[in-house]
Amino acid sequence: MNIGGMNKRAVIITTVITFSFGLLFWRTFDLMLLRHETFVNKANVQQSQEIEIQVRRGVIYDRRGRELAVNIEQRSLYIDPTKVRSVPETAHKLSRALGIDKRKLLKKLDADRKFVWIRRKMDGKEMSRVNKLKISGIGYVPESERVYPRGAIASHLLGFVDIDNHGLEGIEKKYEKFLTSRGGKIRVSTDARGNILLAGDELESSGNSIVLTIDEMLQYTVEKALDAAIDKWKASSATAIIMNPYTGEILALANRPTFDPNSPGRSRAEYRRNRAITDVFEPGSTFKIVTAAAVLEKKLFKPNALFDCSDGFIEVGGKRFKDDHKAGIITMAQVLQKSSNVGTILMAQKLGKHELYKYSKLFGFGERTGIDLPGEVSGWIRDPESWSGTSMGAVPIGQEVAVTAMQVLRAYAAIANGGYLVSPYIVSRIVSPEGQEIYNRQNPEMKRVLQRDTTLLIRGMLEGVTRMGGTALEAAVEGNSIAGKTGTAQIFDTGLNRYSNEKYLSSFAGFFPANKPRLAMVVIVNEPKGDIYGGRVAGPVFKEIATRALAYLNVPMDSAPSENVVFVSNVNGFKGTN
Amino acid sequence: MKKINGNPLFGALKLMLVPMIIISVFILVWLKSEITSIEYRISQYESERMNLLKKRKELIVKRSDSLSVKNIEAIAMDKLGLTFPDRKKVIYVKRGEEPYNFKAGLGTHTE
Repeated sequence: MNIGGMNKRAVIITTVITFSFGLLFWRTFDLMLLRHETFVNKANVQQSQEIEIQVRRGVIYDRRGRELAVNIEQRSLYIDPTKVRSVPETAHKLSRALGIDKRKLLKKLDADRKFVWIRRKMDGKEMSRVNKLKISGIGYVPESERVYPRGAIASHLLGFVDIDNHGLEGIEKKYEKFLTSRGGKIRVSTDARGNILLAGDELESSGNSIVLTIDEMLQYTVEKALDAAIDKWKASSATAIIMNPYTGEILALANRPTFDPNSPGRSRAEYRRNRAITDVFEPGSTFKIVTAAAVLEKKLFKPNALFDCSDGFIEVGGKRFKDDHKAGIITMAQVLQKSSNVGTILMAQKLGKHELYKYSKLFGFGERTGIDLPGEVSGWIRDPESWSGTSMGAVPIGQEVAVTAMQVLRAYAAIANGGYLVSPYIVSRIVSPEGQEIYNRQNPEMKRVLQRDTTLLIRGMLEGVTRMGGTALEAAVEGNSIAGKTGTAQIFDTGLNRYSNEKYLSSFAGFFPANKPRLAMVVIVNEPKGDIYGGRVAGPVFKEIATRALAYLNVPMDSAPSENVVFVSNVNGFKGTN
Repeated sequence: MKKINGNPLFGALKLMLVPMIIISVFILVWLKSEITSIEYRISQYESERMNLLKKRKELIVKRSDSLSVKNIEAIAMDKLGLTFPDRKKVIYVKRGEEPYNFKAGLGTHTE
């Protein structure tokens, strides 16, 4: 039978094909348009997975590019309690493998959650022990662990991080926002078995790297010298800082007691304190440069002015301020050289309390130095209106004033650099993961506080301190002159409400070489036993560090004879250095 | 219309239409399969990269530890018996301006 020229079979086949295509078309229409969203969502659930981008903290380097804080990759163990077959058995196995309290594990496994941490940042041995147990419901998450390869070196500067890699102290805390990156999540494809299929997505995001001003060699030298000092003097604590006096760059900073930032929890909180900027003390005689500089600046005395210190004491407001030894009639330079309290108070009396206060503030006392480390305190010096009758005797010699080691160092740096108060800092550069410099501290912040002539006079006087007749012969370095001042301060005993006769703070602050200063340094030794004097306790520490630092920095000896200089011609392409 | 139907080119296209559709479908399936296969390979390489990065980081820590001043000093002094140089014996080198008939020497020359 023919229908319009086609036989019946052809009509049936055409109809079936048309109907089939119609069905297919409808199904396609349904899948792609009508229920598009539903199926897209289903497919996303089945074929993709959202994973977190792993955030890695930037590396911290010293000024010569040596790594001080880096990251290593670890695995953290978690468990999905809903997939655990036997809670007691799993708890027992994990407890034995990882040494975790079984009761704690039972509590975790009973949680009504799908994700519970068992052990963060495991080592390889622990991982292999756990893998052998074939426990259902466990999994690993890659995490980075902050590692400080130098151990306790520069720990108070670097600080440390918590288990989630958040900075808690030091540079890690202060520069948290630079060291970390935002991270976030990305959606990746997965196959039927849940394996992740990547299409070139970055799974890791790094923070910026930080270059510090410190030099590992100088830092190590300082740390070693402090260890020896603590050992020798059985002191309760000690601090030493080295600074470039012209820029404020901190080249080394160390405190004792100290801690290992790789395991900060194992040390007491007081060990982790950066005493150089968080602890205040009465500076004692190291403060006398303020009085001396002020009277020179105001031209009240000439350096050769004479002071009668023959009585060995002076009474101010009914209180007697004594010298260690009767100095006789001495010049202003000798007042500093012998650290005469009487001579300094006589200077201050002519200066007046308002000027003394003004110059104390000009030297930066009573104000934060602004160093880029957390926890700095300002110390204090009272307004002259609230000074007591004895203050005019106490303040000029460094009593009734609370300062930090950093403030003392900054004051001496001002003498060393010709009269500029610098802002100390610790971070010199910040570099993005792509190598782009995003911060560079090039122009040091400084303000003039003294005239150059005044600083040169004070410098000369301070040189006398480490020479014959001075209080710090033991701080003298062979070959280079040292300008500095000793400090021996009684510590105020809050329990007795008076100055202790047993507890002292010994210090030495200065710079070297005195004729052309390269470094400024302060050494504080708290509560030494056996001796108390700054010249004998802190002075040798200063000497030890200065000797090594001068050798390390290739600073010629003052006496280096010019005939010992080898002259190298620039022929044959040789490039010598000046 | 007749004219079009009579066009030999149109006839050839009509004949090729179905095979072309089928070939296109196969190409699409092949492409999809290739993409999946490449994604597997990328994942594998990514995994290898991550492992290598992990090792690199561990090596950086080891290197950093080995090159620490503390370690170097310990090896130099304890194992090799070295000491810090005597500053008095250090000779400083300065570059001269004029060419000499010698390269270096203890100078009588002053700048």
